[in-house]
Amino acid sequence: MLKSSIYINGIGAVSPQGVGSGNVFSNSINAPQYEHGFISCIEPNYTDYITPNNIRRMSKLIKTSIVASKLALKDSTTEKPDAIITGTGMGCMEDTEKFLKGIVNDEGSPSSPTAFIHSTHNTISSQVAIALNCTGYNSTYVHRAASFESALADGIIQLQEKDSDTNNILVGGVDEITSTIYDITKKLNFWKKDNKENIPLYTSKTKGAISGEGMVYFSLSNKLAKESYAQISAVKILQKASSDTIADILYDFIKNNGLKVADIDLVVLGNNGDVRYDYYYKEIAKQFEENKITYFKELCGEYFTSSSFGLAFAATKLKSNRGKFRKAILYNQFHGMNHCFYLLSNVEV
Amino acid sequence: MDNLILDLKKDIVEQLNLQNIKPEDIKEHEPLFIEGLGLDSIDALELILLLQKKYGIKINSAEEGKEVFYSVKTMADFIKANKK
Amino acid sequence: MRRVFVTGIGITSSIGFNVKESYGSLCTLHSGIGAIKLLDTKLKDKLPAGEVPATDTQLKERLNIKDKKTYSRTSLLALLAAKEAIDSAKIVPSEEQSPIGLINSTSVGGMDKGEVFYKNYINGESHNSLKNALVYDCGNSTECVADYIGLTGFTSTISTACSSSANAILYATKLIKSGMHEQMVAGGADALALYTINGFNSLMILSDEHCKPYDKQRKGLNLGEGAAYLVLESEEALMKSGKKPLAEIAGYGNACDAYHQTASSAEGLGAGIAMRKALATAGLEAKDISYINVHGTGTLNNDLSEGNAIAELFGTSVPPFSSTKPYTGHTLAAAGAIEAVFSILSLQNQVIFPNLNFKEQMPELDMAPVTTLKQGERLNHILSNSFGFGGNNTSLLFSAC
Repeated sequence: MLKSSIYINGIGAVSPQGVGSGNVFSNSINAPQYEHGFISCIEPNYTDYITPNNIRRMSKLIKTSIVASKLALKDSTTEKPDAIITGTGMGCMEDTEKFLKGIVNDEGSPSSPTAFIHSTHNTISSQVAIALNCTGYNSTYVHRAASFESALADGIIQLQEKDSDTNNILVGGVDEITSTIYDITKKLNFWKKDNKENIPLYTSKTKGAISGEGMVYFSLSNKLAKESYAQISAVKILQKASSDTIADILYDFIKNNGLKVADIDLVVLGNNGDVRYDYYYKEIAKQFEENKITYFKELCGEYFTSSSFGLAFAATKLKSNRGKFRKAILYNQFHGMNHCFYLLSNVEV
Repeated sequence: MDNLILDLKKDIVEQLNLQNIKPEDIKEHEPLFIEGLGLDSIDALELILLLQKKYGIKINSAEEGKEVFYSVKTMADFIKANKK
Repeated sequence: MRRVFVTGIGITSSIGFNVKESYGSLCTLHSGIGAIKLLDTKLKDKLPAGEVPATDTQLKERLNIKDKKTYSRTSLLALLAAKEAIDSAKIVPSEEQSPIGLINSTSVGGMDKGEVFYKNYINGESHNSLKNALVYDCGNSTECVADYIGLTGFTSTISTACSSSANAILYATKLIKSGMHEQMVAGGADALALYTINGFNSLMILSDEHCKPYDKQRKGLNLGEGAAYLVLESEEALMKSGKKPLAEIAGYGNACDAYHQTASSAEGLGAGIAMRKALATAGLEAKDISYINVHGTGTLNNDLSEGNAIAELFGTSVPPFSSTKPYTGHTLAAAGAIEAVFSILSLQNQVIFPNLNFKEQMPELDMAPVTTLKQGERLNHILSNSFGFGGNNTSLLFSAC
């Protein structure tokens, strides 16, 4: 249980479902179209958010992260955050590949400084800070499928510090997919061999997931706002867990927050259709009535920070069901690791 | 010299990925940095790279680059004087 | 607020494979920077670096690793330092005691293997090289350390360029203060890679001579590689064990310059905010600082920017300061933790390590670093700065116990 309340007051997203705030998640529909085997984001008109002089150098991941962060701030009517914390599983792969290509072909010869500097993991959070002129706390977590949760945990600790003047924090989960990374991770058996569109993902009996990408920022606060989406009541992160004990872990998580299973009205699960690992979700799903359960990965695909999409999805559902949904659980894991449980509460405004 | 100036303008637009600027929009005596086009230190490094890769001229430090890259004209003069 | 103490330290760098060797090098003014011998780069004869004098195979031998798994060089450096830290804290992780967390950090992770994979990949020969791709990402070295040491608590990886491991220490400290854990391991590692040396070369901030931080004639930085970890414990955990701490993490500050991706603002805005936050969280004033282990990379930009920030904060009473990067090179993500270990050694032994290679004061600043091994004045509180690309600035404040 968190020491004090943490509210999701704003959401900003660039995703395969579109660009915007809560509307992106409440209007989300069936599996989007995808080419080349992976689901790509719908991109905004960047010049609405960034000057042409700045856009020229930026990769998709940097541009979209800046857009998402600005949308989150606008959604929460916060002028400037006190801190910016970003989680990314792989970082800027487009620029990493650009730089690598240069040095693999001609090591030791002059190479592009732009690609190098834009490939550093922390450039995303830094460039968001430059775009927002924010000199507050700034950090970047790169820890696979717990990257977003790590950033979130950091943000929560800061918002809960006594006598601190930190009241509004931007926390983001961002990852991009490129053709090369898709190809390499396909060789590592991350993805389905067969890329049939609109396959029934959640009942899939084959290995691998569908690859995706997304950039979601949250404007979090320790103060409730009129347009708050939901309250984050608890977060639990486990590096490893066995499927034998995952249901017990869930029970303890719910019990330690003073609740019973029946108190949970909405369950959002991160099933990605990978038959090798989706049994974790099955164990969790067994504990709830079927009509309470919903999924999100068909909407955004699988990527290391996809739980940020899941959180926005869950929070938006709570907001549009005030009075009906009181409590929600979100659970996500990747390849049997980085298990993340969220308890969300609806808010009274 | 005119061809070199034109080539340089095209190179600058391409290498620096300038948006909404055509080569002919760049005036040859106009400052490239801070004022004028408003380029920055990363652009200076990209121009150093351009000079080395396309014209075979090495600039040893960012400071040396400052004078060379004042304008398209100073770049062209430098290339003419140093091209092997 | 709970107090957090350091009970163990571990370090591997070009000046030593452990704390004892490193301390010996620091006291005998022995630098680890020299010609690159192991990394097969065309830049090896041009650019000196602080390379750890051991091949990956030799590192594995030191670790007694006999399995056939692929380890990135970053992971191997991390394992050596993390093992020393946990041993020196006299902790044996087990199921009986509460889980210990790990906040690791790295800037390029397993890029030393990733770039090998990528070359195979674009030549259409990736099939036998996939094991290299699997160790590429930042989280991999964290997993390796957690598994090797047996750490089962909250685990994460930070990557904020040159301030990474300082931020790891900061975050781990906060996690203990928040009550989430009683004990944490925090630090970072980075190995030299073609990516890094070519990358920094593209920014034209590498010096072809040994670096001279804060010197008028400085030409840039030397890269280095290494790893360092601290074991942090709450006051309550210490009271239970009766252990004597090495130092206290008394203060910390993180701020963003929000100025430019590669350059710090001339006045060092973010640096100043970070140092002020460190003082404020420690409940101390500028005059209480005994010594600053500066970021001092030897680049034109950093030393001026950091120097201005120090001058602004300390006025006419700038405490003794030095950069230890002429010893180790700039170890990127590992720098914050390596210099934390050096700061703790300073407190433990009441000695200031000199800023090697310094000859001529910068005309813009009214201060010069310590240039000889200095003992005599009481060291109570040390500020250690780590400032990264993109303006990720962090200052840590260590106090003597």
